[in-house]
Amino acid sequence: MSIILCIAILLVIGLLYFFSRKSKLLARFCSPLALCITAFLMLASCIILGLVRQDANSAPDLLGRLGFRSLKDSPWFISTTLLFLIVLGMFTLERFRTQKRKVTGFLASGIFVTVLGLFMSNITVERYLWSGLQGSPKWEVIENGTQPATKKLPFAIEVSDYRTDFYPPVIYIVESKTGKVLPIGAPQSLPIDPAQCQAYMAGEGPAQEKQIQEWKIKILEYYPQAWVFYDSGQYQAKVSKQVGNAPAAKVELSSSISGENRTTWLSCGSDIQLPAFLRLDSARLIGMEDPVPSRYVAQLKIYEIENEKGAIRTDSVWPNHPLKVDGYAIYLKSLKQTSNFWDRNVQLELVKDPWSPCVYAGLTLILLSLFESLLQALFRRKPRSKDS
Amino acid sequence: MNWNTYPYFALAALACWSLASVLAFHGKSRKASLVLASTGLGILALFIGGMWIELQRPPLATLGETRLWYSFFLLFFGLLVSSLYRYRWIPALSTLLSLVFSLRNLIDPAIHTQALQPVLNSFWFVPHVITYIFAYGLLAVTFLLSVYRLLFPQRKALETQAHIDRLSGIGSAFLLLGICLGIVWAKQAWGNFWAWDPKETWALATLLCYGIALGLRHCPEVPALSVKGSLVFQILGFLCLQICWYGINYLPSAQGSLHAY
Repeated sequence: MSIILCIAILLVIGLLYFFSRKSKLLARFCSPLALCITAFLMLASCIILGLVRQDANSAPDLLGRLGFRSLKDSPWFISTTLLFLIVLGMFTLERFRTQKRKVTGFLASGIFVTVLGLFMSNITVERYLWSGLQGSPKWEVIENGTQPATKKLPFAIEVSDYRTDFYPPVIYIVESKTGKVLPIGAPQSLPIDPAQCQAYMAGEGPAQEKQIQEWKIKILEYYPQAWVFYDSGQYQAKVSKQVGNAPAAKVELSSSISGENRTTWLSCGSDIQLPAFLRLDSARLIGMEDPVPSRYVAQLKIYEIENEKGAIRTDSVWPNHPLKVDGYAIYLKSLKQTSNFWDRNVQLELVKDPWSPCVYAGLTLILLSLFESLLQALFRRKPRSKDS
Repeated sequence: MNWNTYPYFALAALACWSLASVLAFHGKSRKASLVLASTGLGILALFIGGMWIELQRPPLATLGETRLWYSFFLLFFGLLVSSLYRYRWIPALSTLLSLVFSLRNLIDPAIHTQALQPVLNSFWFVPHVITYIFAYGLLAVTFLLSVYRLLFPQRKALETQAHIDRLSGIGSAFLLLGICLGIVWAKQAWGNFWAWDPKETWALATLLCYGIALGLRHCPEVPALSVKGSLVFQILGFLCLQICWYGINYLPSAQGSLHAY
């Protein structure tokens, strides 16, 4: 179906271009001015799209009634995109006819192929949601769309493992009323270096230290996973590898104004334990920032049937690293935050896009012609201004 | 090197550039101006390099960090254009623009940790952002030249127009390259080449403005559009570029944008 649509578009372009040689009116559609006018129409659509939040289901208002809230699906938008595509196609053909020896003609053709590929890709792309429990193979996916439907895949997916890595936590002093990091205007923090803390705890290196405001902060101990509890008027911590436990750091604080020395455990907390912080005075607290995820990976087992025999393939997916199986690209959709450590449900997105080679071909043409244009621009003779 | 030491580097670089701008107006002090401008640029480059090492990642993840690169490229292209084409006022104006962006970083520095969102941890991250910022710097100089050309249409008209055409041509090429890299990255990260995300939409609007500006230069049949119309689109393109870069954060359409980190 999509191939028929693509052929129809190409046929329209070809026919219009053929008749443009005989009709002055149609010949104007091959000119840079026509391309500028259709690009201007696209620009108008882009500005509306960029300014108005696209949400067809929002409460009806003037913008909604005018169709600005669902512009992407409007006949105006589709027709301007098609018009731009057709004029771009005619312009490209004209450039090839009139400037046969110039490689720069490939820029227009590269843009045309890319726009055509993107147009077709957006129309035909198939997106499916795979949602399942860790350790349970599943063949079914749910089609993303207005009417979700279940589809059986030619292979089954099992998430055998899911892991989230975090950056080491950060210690900071905050204003207790607003939660703003101090000093306001030039906030400072102490990012924990686990290697240095480990070395200090083993007696093989100096402790990590930093001065924030009048407080000198020294990290005495650090555990990436610990159980923090309140006992005998102060926080205590024990190493615990239980899932959901939070990082904890024992710090020594010395005030350069009052000379006061304090020692406490700090922890950002998790959904099984409260955060541990220390009130420095009536206006300030010292605490630990929630850990920021650095990477999340899901290990997959793909069950395929090859020549009536079963085959198991093992691979991993993480952000920017989809897995390609049987024409589908599998993306890791969800990031598990601390709050759902026990949620064994993992979501993957499967995308089938038959037009991606067309887009890549167009992009390659653009890159090659840009490289050629850049070389031309760099080695062209430069005019000199005597402006004063 | 981090944001706490930034004021020293920024002030030193801007002092060098301010002095270089003043000297640029004196024909005989051209070499001194060039040396001072290069020193200022070197100071900024040193800070960016130091910060890269300190953060253990390219300093391109936050708006404040991109402003840093923008100041750098703006000064770099200011220096390049003024030395190649001998525009004496370019260093002064690019210093002024750079000062605006440096001041924003000086007045309101955000918390900058080592954290880089997992989705940004990609091979495409550095080339995509650097290409964009490179184009931004180049197109800022084009914007200055376009305003100059509109305000003083008779002064060195042909030469100025030639410089605008060439610089905006290269700038637009880098903008297009940035979009192409972004398209490939988007496919790898989200499975979509193009999702009409507000950031993508404004990037396309910017590219269309510059495309129209360049296209109109090939329309001699409409002389008014070919010159003035083209310059108006150069300026409109620069405005769209500002919206695409940071203005988008203040637009209601950006809620739930894929590009909000």
